[in-house]
Amino acid sequence: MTAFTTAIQHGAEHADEAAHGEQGVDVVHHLADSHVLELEPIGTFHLPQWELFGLDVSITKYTVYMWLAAALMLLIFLPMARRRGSVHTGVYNLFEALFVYVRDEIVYANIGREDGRPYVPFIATLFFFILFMNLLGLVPFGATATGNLAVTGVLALFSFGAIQASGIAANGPVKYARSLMPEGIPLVLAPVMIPIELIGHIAKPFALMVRLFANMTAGHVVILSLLGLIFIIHSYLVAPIAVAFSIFIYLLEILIAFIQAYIFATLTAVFIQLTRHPH
Amino acid sequence: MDLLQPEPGLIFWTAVTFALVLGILWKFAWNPILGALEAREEAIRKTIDDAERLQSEAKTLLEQHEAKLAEARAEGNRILDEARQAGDRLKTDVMDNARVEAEQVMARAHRQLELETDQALETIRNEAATLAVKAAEKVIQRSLTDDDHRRFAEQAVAEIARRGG
Repeated sequence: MTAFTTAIQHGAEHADEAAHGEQGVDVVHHLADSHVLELEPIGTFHLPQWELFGLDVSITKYTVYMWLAAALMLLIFLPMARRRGSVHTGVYNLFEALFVYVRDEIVYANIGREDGRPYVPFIATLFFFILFMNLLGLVPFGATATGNLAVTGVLALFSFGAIQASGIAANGPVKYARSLMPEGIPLVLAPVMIPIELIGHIAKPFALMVRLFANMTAGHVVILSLLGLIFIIHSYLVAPIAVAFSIFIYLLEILIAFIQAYIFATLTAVFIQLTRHPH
Repeated sequence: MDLLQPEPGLIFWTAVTFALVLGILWKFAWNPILGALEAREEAIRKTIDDAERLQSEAKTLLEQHEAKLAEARAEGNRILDEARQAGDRLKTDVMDNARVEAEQVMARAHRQLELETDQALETIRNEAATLAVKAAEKVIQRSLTDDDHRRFAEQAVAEIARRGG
């Protein structure tokens, strides 16, 4: 959990009830993206603000932690791929077990052993990227990049792309497009059916986006709210209870970090299989 | 920065980062790892298959050996039994032959003995008759005829035969 912020510093920005010179916990500030890295007591780092073709592409808190997740992935899996010999040790065993789990239980279980193999790299990347970002939110000073709609939205968009591409690759563009209008349904119903099918295609990644964002945000909100109770009630007596509960939620969040990565990857695999065999 | 407001910068960087990580890991990590895993799984499967095959072969061999061993043991027992039976048979044969031969020898000896006894008695009988005749002849030579002699001699012989008989 990043340090409790002094609400007065951000009072003008958020205008919440804590902004009256008191110590407090600013939940929204904690969860929102920002241009500074607050690594108290080491210091506060202002991140560079860039612009590209008129687009604000500044490096933000979440960008940094997303890159950290990406760097961790490269640092773990690139050396793992270069290892020779069949006996792995230490951390490689852990990640190999996870990778085999993703391969067997997520991809092969849903798409099939032969058909699923080409999808293993994409879904493995998705799983580990989300898992690492989720877990980075649980280390001190860390931030959960997956607790941001922009991040989950882009990931869902990649999922959407993969799902549609797999549907087209498996059926051919014509047959796949025809699956929007299932056979045996009167043509009269086309104006109803086609929008419904299209909405179905869009709703799937939309649900992926919102689910991941909401789950990763919710845990943090609960923890911060529990800790915030101490400041709101103004009593040290409530602290043991609040801390105990927030530790419980924290442990739950470790579980949720894995579960949400699993759900995102599994649903992507399931949707891929669904579009490969429409109706 | 609002909680629900997606920032274009973050969208951009997420897309770039994910695409890069996906591309790099796809080429340099996932496919090599997948290949290595499959090779290892194949090797493990092969090793297990080999082990199972060898085990079943060993089992068959063991069974064969045990069967052979049992066969050899039965054969040995059979030979031993046969030898024992042959020995027994030989023993009884030899004993029987010996007994028969002994009986024959004994019978022969008995017959010989009887024959010789009879001959001896005959000789003695003749000798005694002659002697008696000569003695009687000397005693009553003048008073008796040859017929008398003969009658007396025969009476004497019968007497001797009765006593000696």
